[in-house]
Amino acid sequence: MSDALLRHAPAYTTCAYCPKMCRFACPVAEAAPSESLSTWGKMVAGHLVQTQQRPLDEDAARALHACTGCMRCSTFCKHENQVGPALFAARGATVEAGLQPRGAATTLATFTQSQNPFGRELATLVAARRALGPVKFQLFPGCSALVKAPALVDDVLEVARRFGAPMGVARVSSRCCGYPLYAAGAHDAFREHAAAMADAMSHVPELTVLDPGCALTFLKVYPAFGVKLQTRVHTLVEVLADHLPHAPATPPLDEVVGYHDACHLGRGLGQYDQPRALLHRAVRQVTEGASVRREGGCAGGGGLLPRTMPDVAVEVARRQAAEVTPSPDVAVVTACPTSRRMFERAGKKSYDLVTLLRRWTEGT
Amino acid sequence: MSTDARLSGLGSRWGAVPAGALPPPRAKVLAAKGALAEAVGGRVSFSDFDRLSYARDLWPLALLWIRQGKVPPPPDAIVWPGTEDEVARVVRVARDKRLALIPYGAGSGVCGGAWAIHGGVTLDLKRFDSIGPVDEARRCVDVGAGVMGETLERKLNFSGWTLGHFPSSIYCSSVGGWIAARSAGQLSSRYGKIEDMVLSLRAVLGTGEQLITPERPFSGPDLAPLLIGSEGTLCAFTGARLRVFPLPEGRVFHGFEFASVEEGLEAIRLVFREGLRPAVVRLYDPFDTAFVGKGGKARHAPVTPPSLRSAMERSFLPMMLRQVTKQTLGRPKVMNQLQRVFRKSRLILMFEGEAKRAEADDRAATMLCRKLGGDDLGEAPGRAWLARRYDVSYRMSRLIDAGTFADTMEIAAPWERVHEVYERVHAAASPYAFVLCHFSHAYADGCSLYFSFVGSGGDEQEIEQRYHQLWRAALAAAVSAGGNVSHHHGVGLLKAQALQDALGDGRHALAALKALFDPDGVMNPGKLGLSS
Amino acid sequence: MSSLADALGPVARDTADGGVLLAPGDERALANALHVLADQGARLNRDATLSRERLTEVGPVEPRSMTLEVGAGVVLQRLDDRLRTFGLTVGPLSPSAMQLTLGDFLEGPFAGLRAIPGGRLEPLCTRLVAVLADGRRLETSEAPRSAAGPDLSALVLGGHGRLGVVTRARVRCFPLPEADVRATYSLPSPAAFVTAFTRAVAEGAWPWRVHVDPRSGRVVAEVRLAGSAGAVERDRDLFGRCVDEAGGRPSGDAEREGPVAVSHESTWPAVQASLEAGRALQLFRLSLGTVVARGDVDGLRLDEPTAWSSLGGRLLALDPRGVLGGAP
Repeated sequence: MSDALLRHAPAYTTCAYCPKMCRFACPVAEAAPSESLSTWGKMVAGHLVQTQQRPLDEDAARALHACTGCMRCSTFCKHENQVGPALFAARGATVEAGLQPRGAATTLATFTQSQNPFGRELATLVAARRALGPVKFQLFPGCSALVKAPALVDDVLEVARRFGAPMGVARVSSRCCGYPLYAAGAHDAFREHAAAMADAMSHVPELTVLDPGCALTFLKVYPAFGVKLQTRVHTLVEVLADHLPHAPATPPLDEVVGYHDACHLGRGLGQYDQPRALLHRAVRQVTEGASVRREGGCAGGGGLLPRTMPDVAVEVARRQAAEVTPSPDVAVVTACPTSRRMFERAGKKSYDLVTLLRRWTEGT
Repeated sequence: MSTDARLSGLGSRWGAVPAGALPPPRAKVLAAKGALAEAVGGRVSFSDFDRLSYARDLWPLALLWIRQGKVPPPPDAIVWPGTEDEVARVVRVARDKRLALIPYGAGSGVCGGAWAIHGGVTLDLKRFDSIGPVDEARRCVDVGAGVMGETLERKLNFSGWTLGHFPSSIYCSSVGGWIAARSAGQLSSRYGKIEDMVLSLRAVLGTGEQLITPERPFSGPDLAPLLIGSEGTLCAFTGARLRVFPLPEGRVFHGFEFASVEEGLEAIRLVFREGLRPAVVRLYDPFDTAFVGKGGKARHAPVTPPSLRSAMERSFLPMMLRQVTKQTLGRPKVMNQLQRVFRKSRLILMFEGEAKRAEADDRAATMLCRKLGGDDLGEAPGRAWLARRYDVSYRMSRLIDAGTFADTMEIAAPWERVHEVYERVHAAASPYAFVLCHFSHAYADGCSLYFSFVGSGGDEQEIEQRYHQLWRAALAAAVSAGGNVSHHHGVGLLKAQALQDALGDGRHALAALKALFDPDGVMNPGKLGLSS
Repeated sequence: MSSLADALGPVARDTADGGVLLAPGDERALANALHVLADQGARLNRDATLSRERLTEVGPVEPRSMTLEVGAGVVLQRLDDRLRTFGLTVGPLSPSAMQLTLGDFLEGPFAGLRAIPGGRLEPLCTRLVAVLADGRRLETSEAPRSAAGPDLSALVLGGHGRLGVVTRARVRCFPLPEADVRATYSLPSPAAFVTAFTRAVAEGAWPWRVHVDPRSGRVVAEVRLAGSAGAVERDRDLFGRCVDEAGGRPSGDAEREGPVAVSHESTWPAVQASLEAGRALQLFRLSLGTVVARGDVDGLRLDEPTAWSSLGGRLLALDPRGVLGGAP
């Protein structure tokens, strides 16, 4: 049995004996309403594997991968059980047994080949957005934004300029933070990748990170794997909120939008007020759902769920979009490129916060 | 056969199986795979992992088995219908092939009501998850049976309404489960039990017929009370129209300490006799009063998440705790005698609703309590209770991990019998478990008694034996002293025999209902003591 | 003596109009009579009429739970008169309900329901004893509430005696009111009246009855409040605030006699519609969902059995011999 499983043994046991007190909170279990995919069901799978009561099989492996790592369950757990990390640790057993769901296996294969989950050459994408002049902040957009939403990176650079915080894409952005390795359960590879990344970042004293998933990985996951960064890491919304007094005195857009707290930004990094401060300056009215901040829902983009259970991931996003605003005319705004893409896949009109900020500062 | 032998046989009667080696699905269920898949658009599973997930509900007996690497008998298959037509088609397949059907909400029952003791097909109803808009004029909402309680309450709160139903299982239980087991919430004294909230039910009978019960007024007998509490033995619930209330504008808490349980009970009785309806009324017996403490401010105690515990915290301390537990809870009689040194009993009241009315009701209740010698503890105990209202459920993990068994028994009795039921159950359970009790869910004519039991033993076999002995002794004492079998947890397997005994000749009426609505006996066979 | 009365024995007698009156004195006698009827191919309610004249025993009062065992043949008004000597009452039932026997109140269109503080409906009785169509005895628990399987008393309540015949029940009482006052309010519209009164009921007010009269563009409502002095005061204050919030005000109008008319079980929207049509009503058993209304109002007639809902009809299969007479 791996050390990781042993370390998380009390976490699995706690859930296996618990009367499912977070049952309503798991976005995956709400979207794919099976007890096997409830937090409880997934942690029981971990418990059975860890205690060697049951050999791992494909269905149990699938359950271990049916978690976005959103940590909503932990919000409602009086034990503060860290379910996401425990399940991600158990995914290591699925790698060892060759029982990963297909989406996780192909992601790993792609990553191994290209050092990112998209199989793209990131250096070219980064080079196109390197700053020509001096900048105040080095930006780490994250490979997801670089590959899937390059226009968003342009929005960031423009908004940052207008906020008096000029940014340029850092050269180190041509590497992935390694989150896909962590989420897929390839933890030795992740540790190795993280150490290399930390080394590559060592010459960057301060980094502004667009994607909350990357920021969380740098700030929380690296240390958990014993990797120490010398770089000070900030999220983009932190930096922009700090510079809000320098933003143009433009009237807010005459729009109503709904706000979604991205899990990695909110529960992961505790940043709830900064995006709201930005948003409330940019638009006339912001609506929110019944559950927000620490208790807010998930958009289904984390934990490789869009690759391992794409339909479920989209259903998670559809439900969260409806939770934020049931009105089809009201767009959902979020400060997470992955969440925004999930809302788009769910057919919901959505904006990234930065895109909205750009429209506001440009008065369009 | 000795009592002990019979009791140890009780566990195996339902055939605990090793979690690592489930029996294969029955041939007749496998043979129906195509028909089942067709009935529910392919949403059917025969996988061992799914069968394992649906093998148990939250009956604590299963936790003792889990600790030993065993689980209750699993269903042969699970289906996830999403429409009433699909449920009806599954019922027709079950009738045709003579398969047991076990309706399943969220699996939060604590009496084994969702156990597949005859195998068969578990009918997970969570896809009935719609929440309609609140009809503000008529103060009601249409809800799917699969909606989780907390999800519903949050939605309602967001638009200014509440269901007023707060079972301690609200995070892990569904609307359908509440109706199936006649649930009660912590605020039932104001808002009623779930049967008071149901205006109309949607269900599919064991005949395959789909029905919607009429709302008052109507002529003739009311079918709803005959289906509510049927625990899947007559029908599968798919939805309900529920009464809702505006969110309360004000809330007033008050705690009192009485010289004895009897005085505290008298205070509750007089409060209800006066026509007052506190949302919360909870009287803790002396040891529960001392155990729970005086309340004070609710503080967030620092917690080390399980994964971050040190090696010492992970293994050495739990091992020590197990030893201590064996030495203390393994000798419950001594522990129970020791608790007799405590005398005082604490009462918590909470009024809510229109602010001035809540305050006026609180003043009236305070006068009554003071007249009976209650020490006024102010609002702190009530506020502390509210902040920790669901915490007790989280304790289960630690108790089981510490090598104990833990369970609760909730019954009701008229005021004349309440204290005697308390004393007799306490005495009957004392040889087997440490006993705590509180009194809640009060009415003008009686109240509910909620016992908590924690026990241990030399080894797992002894622990399980004591667990069964405890239940037999406690239930028998409760019924013989004038209590009933259940106030809000339902019956399932745990109390099936007790229910049949308590019904007397009425058991034939229940059997006749079963024959009428489930002529082939496919619906959740064996539960409520109804044979397949 | 007719052959049927003869077969039924001492529990039966012929009536002047040529019928047979069945008057059992206990459950056993009733069960035997049902078996005889079945053997003869006869039916209660068609070939013989049930009388509960011998089921009139009244047991001792349990002062703590305020309950007592009452024979199903006891008329509620008489029971109430007797309860007064113990400082108790059956509470605010409508005048027509008070004229019924306990059995008829439980089995008939009232379904034995009463309103309690907070506006919920609950049966007047806790435990009931009945004889079912197969002659077996049904005896429910005397616990205030239960989750022990379905509520089998629903086979009897509102069942018009077609599924089971109630012989006795444990009746839940209230303390005899120490104060009994009337308060009159004037509201701007029927909708305002319904808003104010449903809110007051939901918040805990417990009106014994309301006379409501739409007059020259306003609605005048006189409410009778009874209970302890404190309870009446709290209720009056609450009504005052609810009426005020709905745009109404106290009114000095004296009590008016309400219309003498048929009682209905009605919904609040039906009450509002009736008031909007200018009809005065007397309201009893005010609950969160329905009221008992006397006057010209839509609803279920309570003075005579009406056709059952189709679902209720399904339950008649529980009387395969048809000995209890089938649906009304």
